[in-house]
Amino acid sequence: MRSLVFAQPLRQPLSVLYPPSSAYSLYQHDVFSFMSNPASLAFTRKFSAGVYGERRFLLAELGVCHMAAAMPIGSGAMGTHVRYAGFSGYQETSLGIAYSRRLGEKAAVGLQFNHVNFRVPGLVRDAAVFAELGALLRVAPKLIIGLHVQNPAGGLFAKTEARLPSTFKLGMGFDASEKFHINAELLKESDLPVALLAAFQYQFHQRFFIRAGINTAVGSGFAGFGLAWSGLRVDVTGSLHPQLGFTPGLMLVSFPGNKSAVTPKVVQP
Amino acid sequence: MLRLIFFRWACWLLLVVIGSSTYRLKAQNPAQPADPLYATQLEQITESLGDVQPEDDHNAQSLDHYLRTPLNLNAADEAALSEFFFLSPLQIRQLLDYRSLLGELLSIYELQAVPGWDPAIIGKIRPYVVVQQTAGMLEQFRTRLKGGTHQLLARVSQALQPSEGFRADPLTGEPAYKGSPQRLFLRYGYQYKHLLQYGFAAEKDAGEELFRGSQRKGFDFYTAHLFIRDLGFVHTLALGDFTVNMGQGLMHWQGLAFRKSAEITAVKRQGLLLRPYRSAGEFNFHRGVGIRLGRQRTSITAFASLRHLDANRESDTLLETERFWVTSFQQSGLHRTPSELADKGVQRQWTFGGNLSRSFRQGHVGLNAVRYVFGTPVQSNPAPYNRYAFSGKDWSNYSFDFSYTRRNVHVFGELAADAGFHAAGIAGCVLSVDAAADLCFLYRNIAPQYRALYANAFTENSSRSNERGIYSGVSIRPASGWRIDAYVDLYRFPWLRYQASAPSSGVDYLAQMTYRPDKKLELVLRYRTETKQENRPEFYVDGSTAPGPVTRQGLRWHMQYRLSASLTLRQRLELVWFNRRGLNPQDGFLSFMDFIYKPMQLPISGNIRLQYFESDGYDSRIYAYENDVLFNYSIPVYYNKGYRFYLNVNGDLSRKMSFWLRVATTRNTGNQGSGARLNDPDGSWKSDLSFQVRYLF
Repeated sequence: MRSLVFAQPLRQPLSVLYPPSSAYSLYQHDVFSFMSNPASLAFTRKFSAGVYGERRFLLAELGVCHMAAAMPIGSGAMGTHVRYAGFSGYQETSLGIAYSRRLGEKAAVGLQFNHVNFRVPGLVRDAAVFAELGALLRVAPKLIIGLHVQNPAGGLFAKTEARLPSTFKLGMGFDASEKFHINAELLKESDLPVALLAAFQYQFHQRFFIRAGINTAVGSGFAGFGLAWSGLRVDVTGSLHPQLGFTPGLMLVSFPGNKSAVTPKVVQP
Repeated sequence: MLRLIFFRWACWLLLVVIGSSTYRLKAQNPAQPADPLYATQLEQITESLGDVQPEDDHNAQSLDHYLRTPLNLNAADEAALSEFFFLSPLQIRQLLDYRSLLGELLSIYELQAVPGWDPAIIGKIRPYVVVQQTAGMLEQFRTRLKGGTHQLLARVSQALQPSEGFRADPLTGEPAYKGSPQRLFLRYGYQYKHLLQYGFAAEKDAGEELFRGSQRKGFDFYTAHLFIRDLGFVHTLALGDFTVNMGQGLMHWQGLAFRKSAEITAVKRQGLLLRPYRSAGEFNFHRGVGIRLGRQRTSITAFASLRHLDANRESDTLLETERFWVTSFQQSGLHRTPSELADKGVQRQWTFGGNLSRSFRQGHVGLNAVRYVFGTPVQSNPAPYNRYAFSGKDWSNYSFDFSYTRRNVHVFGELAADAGFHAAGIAGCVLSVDAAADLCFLYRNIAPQYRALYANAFTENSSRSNERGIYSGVSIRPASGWRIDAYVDLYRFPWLRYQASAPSSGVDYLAQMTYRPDKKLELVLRYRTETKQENRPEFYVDGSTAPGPVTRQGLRWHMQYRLSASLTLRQRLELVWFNRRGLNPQDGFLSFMDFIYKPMQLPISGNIRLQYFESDGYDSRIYAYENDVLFNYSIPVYYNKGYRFYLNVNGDLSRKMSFWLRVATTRNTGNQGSGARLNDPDGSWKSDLSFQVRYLF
């Protein structure tokens, strides 16, 4: 089953570009980072939760909403997310739970299970379960590489027997400093050409930052800026599809205990 | 203040101790002026000009001059520093801010204390600059006339296999080209730093006559210039031939302008507003007078020019009075055949223009205007994509440009309008977000109806109009010796253009990784892809053509390794894939190896290249910059299949006289050209020989 309007696959981070684009950073990651690679949950030091919503191409029928929460557990962390997209004629939801664990000072692995279901009222309703595996390796003080495999077994929907695509990602992130991060991922989805996802984030003030990037699969770019105060961060985002147009978005992230910083201060391993 | 001075002296002493060992070594091995990114830029400019090699050698001449007469960093202003194409606008501003805050530099070693100036950029500029006390204007005037260098240069080159144009036509018994097959270039010039320049040049292309026939005055092309700078209230005076470069090139920019490249911060047009013209190109310059007056931070510039341009002129004799009009301008400067000679100088062009500029510590603002008046009306080819092409006897453009620097951010831009009040705008910024990372953004929005006759802005479209796009670039230095550069450019053409019969769009990506662990080794890996909508047969729908996406990808591997103090090895491998998923895909391959020999103790040096190329056709062509005689560019385009070899030898006959000799040959082993075009040699071999001598006194 191909993704709805291609530019909006709920089960992959292809379309929802902004939230998970900081997975490879020690300093800039947030509660949504594990949507790109479950191993990045290991960077979580304090409880955090967030919600993200966008109206794809300014169409009410293509609204998307993501909610996520993460908390540290022992030498790892646990996270959960709920994703919803659709309208009265079609709905798609995803529920996931993830666990990540640090392996020493320089590596982390993560595992995530997702339950996806879609519904066309009066016609069909189906569901599937698939798994994701992720790993991050800190090869240099400022450089992290990562591997992410989604649905390696090629899960099937039970009733319609449609096969969920498998995706493989290889990524790299560079923290030039606590203020500037850049990353790039090569993404291969089954039956589609290789795509590049690249993004940077620049925190030019303790309370403000900008983030921007691109997805070469559809030549779509995204950008946003964030404002933080009293343990709450608000991001205003937008992405532009070359043919289908503009998509606005809004993200709220809560990290109690942090007064002003954009992201919680990371205690170096 | 005292503490600041003490701190500065302490830093300077520390830098001397740390830096002197490095620079002592550099003094023993004078740095080489060659820049691989400049070579890449020339390749892309050649591709954008439709395989016509640029003839503007101003940058090369400037670097050569500064190599012999280094620029005093304590006297250099923003315009003088912008002549070094490898300096970003932020780096220039940082040096000027440092100097204004702390006074004149005490030593070249102090460059290491300037924010944003890392060892890599200091190493690049080191051969061209010096730190000296600034001299007064009166002392400068006396030494200007006598303290400079005279240069006399002569070059002759010839293709050894005569092309079709030199052979006798079977019908007429006469060759199409009336002149000899040699290309001659003579140049005399005097230059004292950047303050006084004068000289002249003469050029004859292969096939043009010399002192006979259509060229009774001798050479086909002459140019002369007198250029004075910094004479009190007169900032610049240009008499003769000169170029004008305004704003960000939306309106008027005649100098060589860089396109997208791995040097991601080189998106801003920067350079002298008035420049002397000393090149062999016969089209892109003005002839007349230009003057820039300035006091403190305000300057005003005015120029006037009269040219007789080559143009294709049509006539209509049906009316009682014969009516002429010009359909296109000829920029090649070739006058070999009767038809080319008939186009010579037929279009008279008056140009008037000016600039009012106000500088302040962190930037500037400027107003620009230019007006053209033609002797013969211009009427373009009435094709749909030419709907908004310039027509008429006169035209004008106006613009406002600005730049501003604050801390680590430099913004710049230009807003322009033409005589029909059609608008164009370009705005960009360069951010130094970290010592190891730079970002660059540029947005342009140029209406399809906008026209400027000498525009040269940072655009995808060669016409510099009908474009909206956003360019983003990043350069990071993740570890010592490593550098990663990348850009993405998304653009759209709202109206038709040549070979696109509908509004179209495109996207370009580039990623380049460079590893330079020391002065001996440099490794470069570059991937570039361009997807643009064009008319192609596979996109025909029901007999009509709609442009579809066509992708061109390239992968380049480049290595340079200094085997010893006198021997350097350079190797490149390049792959090109054209339209892999479409009809008629093409692949291209090119590989070469250079040996560069420059012994320190001998007055002779040379380099040799061995190259193989293979491609399925013109669409998978590959450009490769080649070493040539001084001030001459060689950027051939390679397609089909064959081998290439060249040898350059350069020697100093004395302290004042040098020579250059070049032998190059290409053997095509694939499908041969028919030789039907006059410039094509018949047969599989194509060789050329060049000899140049220069005398300095």
